[in-house]
Amino acid sequence: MRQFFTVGLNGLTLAGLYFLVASGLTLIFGLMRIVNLAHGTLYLLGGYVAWTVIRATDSFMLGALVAALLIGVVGLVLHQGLLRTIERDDMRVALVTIGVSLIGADQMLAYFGGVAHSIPTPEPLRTAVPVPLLGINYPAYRLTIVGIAVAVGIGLWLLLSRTRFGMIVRAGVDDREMVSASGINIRLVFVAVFLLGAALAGLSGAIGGAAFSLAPGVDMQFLLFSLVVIIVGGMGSVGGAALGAVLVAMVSNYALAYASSFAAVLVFGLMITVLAVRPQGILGKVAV
Amino acid sequence: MRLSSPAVRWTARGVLLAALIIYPFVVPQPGFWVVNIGIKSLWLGVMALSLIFLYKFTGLLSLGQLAFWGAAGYTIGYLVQLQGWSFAPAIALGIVFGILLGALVGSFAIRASGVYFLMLTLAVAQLMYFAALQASQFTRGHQGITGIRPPTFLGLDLVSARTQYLVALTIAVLLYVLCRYIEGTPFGLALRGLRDSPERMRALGYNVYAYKVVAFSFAAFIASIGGVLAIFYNRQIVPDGVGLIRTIDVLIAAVVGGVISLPGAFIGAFALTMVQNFSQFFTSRYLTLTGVVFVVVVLFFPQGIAGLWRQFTGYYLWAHDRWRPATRDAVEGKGVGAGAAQLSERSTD
Repeated sequence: MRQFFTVGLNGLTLAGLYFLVASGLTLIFGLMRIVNLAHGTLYLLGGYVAWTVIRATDSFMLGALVAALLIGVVGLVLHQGLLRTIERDDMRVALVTIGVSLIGADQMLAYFGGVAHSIPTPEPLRTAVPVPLLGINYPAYRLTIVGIAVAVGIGLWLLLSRTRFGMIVRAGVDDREMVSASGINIRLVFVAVFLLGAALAGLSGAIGGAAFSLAPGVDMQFLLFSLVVIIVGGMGSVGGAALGAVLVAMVSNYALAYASSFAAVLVFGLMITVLAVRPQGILGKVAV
Repeated sequence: MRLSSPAVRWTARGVLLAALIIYPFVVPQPGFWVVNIGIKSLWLGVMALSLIFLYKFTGLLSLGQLAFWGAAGYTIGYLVQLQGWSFAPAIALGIVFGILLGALVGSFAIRASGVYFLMLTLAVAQLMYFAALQASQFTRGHQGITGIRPPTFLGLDLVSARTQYLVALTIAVLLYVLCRYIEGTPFGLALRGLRDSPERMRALGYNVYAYKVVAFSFAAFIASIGGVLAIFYNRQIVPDGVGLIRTIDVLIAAVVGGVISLPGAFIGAFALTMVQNFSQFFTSRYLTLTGVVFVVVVLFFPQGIAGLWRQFTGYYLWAHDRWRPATRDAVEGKGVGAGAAQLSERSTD
């Protein structure tokens, strides 16, 4: 029973991380119909940036902040520099971002090597704390990740449903020409959302790098799982990303613990089951 | 005589085929030119053909073809190496498994379209990679199934580089001819109708869904054959073979070759194989180079090498219309496609 709960909490930690990464991807897709397949690259680069900063300054907060800001800017440059001119052609955007992910993976391998790096967990969170009701101890840092994911989720929900900016974004998701016609500079909103999505990926890299390792291949792992998360949850929906993250992380973690050979097969099974019943994903609005 | 007249075309095809057959007997260093360049280009070309077939006939761009490659390859590796089967039934079963997986993936993926389909198939290919890592009693995990010795079939010893090349060439040519043949059959015409106007075809009584699943399964069949050829070439199957970098290789071969052109599959595979082999002499970061070439192709030459000639004439005629002059300079400054453009037979103007 202890193992069952521990696996569940591990799944929840991973779900938090998947949600942080996938929410950025789904936001960008929802508004701009752009699938950024370099999103996993942004996660890993964020982790490496944070690792570098934390090694130099010994401050986790600073590292996470720099990672979020810098990756936000990297996303901005990617969007403005490469994607803006072909924005209307979603296939070409996806292809260009795949190319970027290949370049990114190779360059990161050149600079940071093939060895796994790990960000030291922040000092006050290193201990394991008892979890109420379950009767087990669990690392405080991992619980913090779940907390951060919930906070970011609530923050995004408030931003989208309670602010003028969120109103514009939601209107843009439904009909961006109409938003544009009513005098709002939709391009500026695009830029802001792309920056926000990329910054979330960078921040996740910093947070995830302290719980899991940073190594070549991690970029692809996070790209894959954030894709599966938004396919299952429904593309363009932040709530769907949360639901999808929990489902995918739980299935893959319990499978790894009890039937490790078939974890990927079971995630595949989850994906096709959802798609068979609801092709647009659980909370997806329309079939794309 | 016009360049596009049938006589010229058939002569060109005959010359090209003859050159490809003579190729392994005249090149120096057969270990490199026949194996690393020749056979590799052929099986990668078959993979690109599978992707291009699907794109050309259904308008769906798949990143999942390597999943079927891997399904066939792992089945063969498992049965032959770990279970002691002989090759013939293992290969048959491998291809059947690849097609069945194709039908399963196709049955849910083809309901999506465009970029959503791209994501789904990418996810499938990546899950295949993780499955290969995790199911170690079938796949031997990280180290993969190694030491597979190519068999002798009908007196053809596939260990010999030349024989293997000629067998791969024969299979590649047959698959290519099959794809060209399907273009003209009622099935092929129906598929193109579905691609261009699914509603109208549905109104005419065609089962759009079934046609697309069959097309997807056929593409998976081509990819499975690619998996068989690759297992002879690699003599092993490892998880990295179905990893993202290989997925991107197939995509690059298809897109660089020209994603709507069937011969482009092999042109692209050859170009990519050359770049990957020769760039190692002057840079250790050949993946970066591959990525940059790919991004440039997607941004500036959406029709790839096979469409380069047409694109040239297009630029010449209305350079100022769609593209800025700066991009035109970039086109003319690029020498890579010049020779390959002549291979293209699609200059129908």
